[in-house]
Amino acid sequence: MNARLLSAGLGLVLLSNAVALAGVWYNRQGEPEARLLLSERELLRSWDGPHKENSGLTLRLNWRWPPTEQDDRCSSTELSAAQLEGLGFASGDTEPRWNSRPAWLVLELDGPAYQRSLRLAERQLAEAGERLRQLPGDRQLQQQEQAARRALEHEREQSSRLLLVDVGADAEALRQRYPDRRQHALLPGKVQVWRCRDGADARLGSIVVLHNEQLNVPITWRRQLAEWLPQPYGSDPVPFTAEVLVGRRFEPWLGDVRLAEKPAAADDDDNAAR
Amino acid sequence: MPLTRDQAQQRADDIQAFRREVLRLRGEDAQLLGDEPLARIAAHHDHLLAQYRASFDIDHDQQTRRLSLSMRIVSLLGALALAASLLFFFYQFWGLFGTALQVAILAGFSIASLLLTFFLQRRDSSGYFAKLAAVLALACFVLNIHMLGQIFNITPSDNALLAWAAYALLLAYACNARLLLAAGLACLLAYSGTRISHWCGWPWPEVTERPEHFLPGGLLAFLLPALLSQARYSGFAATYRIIGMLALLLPLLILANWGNGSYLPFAADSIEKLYQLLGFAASALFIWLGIRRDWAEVTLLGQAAFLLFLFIKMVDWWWELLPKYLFFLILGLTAILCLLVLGRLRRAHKGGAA
Repeated sequence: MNARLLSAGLGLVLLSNAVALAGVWYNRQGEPEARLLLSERELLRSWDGPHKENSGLTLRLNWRWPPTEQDDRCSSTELSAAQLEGLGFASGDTEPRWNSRPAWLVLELDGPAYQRSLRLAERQLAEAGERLRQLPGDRQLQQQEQAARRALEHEREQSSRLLLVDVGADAEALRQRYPDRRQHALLPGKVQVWRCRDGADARLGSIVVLHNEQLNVPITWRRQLAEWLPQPYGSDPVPFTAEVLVGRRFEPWLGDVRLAEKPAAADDDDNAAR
Repeated sequence: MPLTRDQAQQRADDIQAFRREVLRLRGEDAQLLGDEPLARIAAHHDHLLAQYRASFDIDHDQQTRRLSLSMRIVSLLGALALAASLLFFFYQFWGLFGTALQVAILAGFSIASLLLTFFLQRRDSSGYFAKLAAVLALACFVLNIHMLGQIFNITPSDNALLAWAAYALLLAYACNARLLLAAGLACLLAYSGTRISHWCGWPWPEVTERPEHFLPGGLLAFLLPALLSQARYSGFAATYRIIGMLALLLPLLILANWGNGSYLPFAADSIEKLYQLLGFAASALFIWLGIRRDWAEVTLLGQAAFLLFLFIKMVDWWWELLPKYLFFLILGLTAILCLLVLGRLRRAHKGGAA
C-alpha cells in the first residue's frame, strides 16, 4: 500500500513539473506571438513585498490607459458599448450582476495612441499658455501653465509608451486587427464593470486587469538590473532596453536586456542585488 | 484486532475503566467474579494492551494522553514553522541560481521531502514525525508549483489547485493525517468552485463572486464518506463532513445577507429571504441528521449555524427597533428556549436508549 502511494506521490511530483515545463517549452517554440522592445519607461522593478530577503528580481509591465480630454469619474478609458457587448456584458444594462469577464488585452508600444497622448499634452500646454497670455499676472494660470509644461515633459521623457488600445473576447480577431507584432502584444486579462453615476446618468464604469504582468529576470541580467533599478518606484530611471517576447500561450519572458553605462550616482552599497 | 489507532485507544480506555470498576466493586464487597477468572481477564487485557502499544502506540494512561496532546500541538506548530522556513530559505537564495538549478532544487526538495515522509512513516510508530514531514512535503510541493509559475511567468491557472489537492490527499491517506485531508479537501473545493465559475463565464479567480459555486462540491464532500467507507482512517469521515458542511453553510450564510451575489434571477431581497429559509432548514436538517446518526461534529456545527442564522435575523429585525436591554433580553430568552428544546431532545434520546 505504502509503496503504491509513494510511487503515486513521486509520479504526481514529476508529472506536475513535466506538465508545467512542457507548457513553458511550447510557449517559447517557433516565432513569438509578439516581440516588444521596451525601456525603463515600460518596465519597473516590482515591489519586493514584506520579505526583504528575496534575492530574486521581477519587473512589472508598466502599461496605462490612453489619457482622455476630461477627467472621467467612471473610467480612465472609453470602452465602447460594442466592446462591452463583445465581452458578453448586456447592452444598456447599468446594473449588471455579471460584472467580470475574461478578455484579451491589446497593448500598443509607441504607436498612434502614444502620439495622441503626446499631442493632447501639447494642446493642453498650448491652451494653458494662451490663457496665461491673456492674463499674465494671474498666479493660478501661471501654475497651470507650469503644470502643463511638466506634464508634457513627463509624457515625452518618462511616461510609459505602452498603452491599452483594445479589448475583446477573440484573440485571433484582435490579432488580425492589430497585425504588427513588434508594436502590439496580446495578453490575457479581465474586464470588470460597475454601475457609475455621472450626473443624472447611470452608465458602466470599467476596470481592466492584466493577469500576468510580472516578468522574472534570469540570473544573466539580475545583478546588474537590480543595481540599475534600486527602487520599485524610482524617480530617476536609468536607461536600459529589454526585449520582451510573448509566446504561443501568450506568456511573456525577457529575451534580451541591454544596459547603458552605469551612472556614477547609483548607490552600490545600499541598493546592490542581494 | 482493531483497524485504527482510535479504535485501539477506545478499547484500551475501556480496559482501564473496567479495572477501576473492579477495584471499586472489590471495595464495596460486590465482586461477582472470583480471583482466578479476574486474573485470566487481566492477563488477556495485558496481552491486548501490549499488542496495541506495539502496533498503534496508544496512550495507556491519562498522563501519556496529555503528553500525546502536547506532542500533537508541537508537531503542528513545528510543521508550520518548518514550512515557513523553507519558503524564506528559497526566497533568500533563489536569485543566486540559474533557471535550470532553480527548477532542479524545487523538484528535488519535493521528491526528497516525500521520500523522507515515507521513510519516517516506517520508522516512527507514533506518527508525529511522519505527519510533520508530510506537512513539509506538501509545503515543498506547493512552493515547487508556485515558483515554477513565477520563474517562467506562467499565467496563473486553477489546475495547480487540483495537483495540490491530489498531493495533500495522497499524503493524508499515507500518514493518516486529518490536517492534510482538510487541506486537500479545501483545495479540491476551491478547484470545483473555479471550474464551475469558468463554465459559467467568469474568469476563474472571480470564484468568490458567486458563493453558489461551492455548493455542489460541499454537498459531494459531505456525502463522500457515506459512499466510500473511511472506517480504516480515524477521524476522516468526520473531517469530510465538517469541510462539506462549511462549504455548504458558509455560502448560504453569505447569500442570506448578500442577494446580489446569487445566480437566481430574482430581486436581491427575495434571494436573501430564500437563502435565510434555506439556511435555517439546512441547519435543522444537520442537527437532526447528527443526532440520528450519532455524528457529534454534525450536530455541533448544525447548532452553531442555526444560532448564527437566528442571531443575524434578530439583529435584522430588532437591533434598530428595540432598546438594547430588550434586544439582549430576547436573545437570552431565545437561548433558554433552545436549552428547553435541546433538553427535551436529550430526555427523548435517553428514553429511547433505555
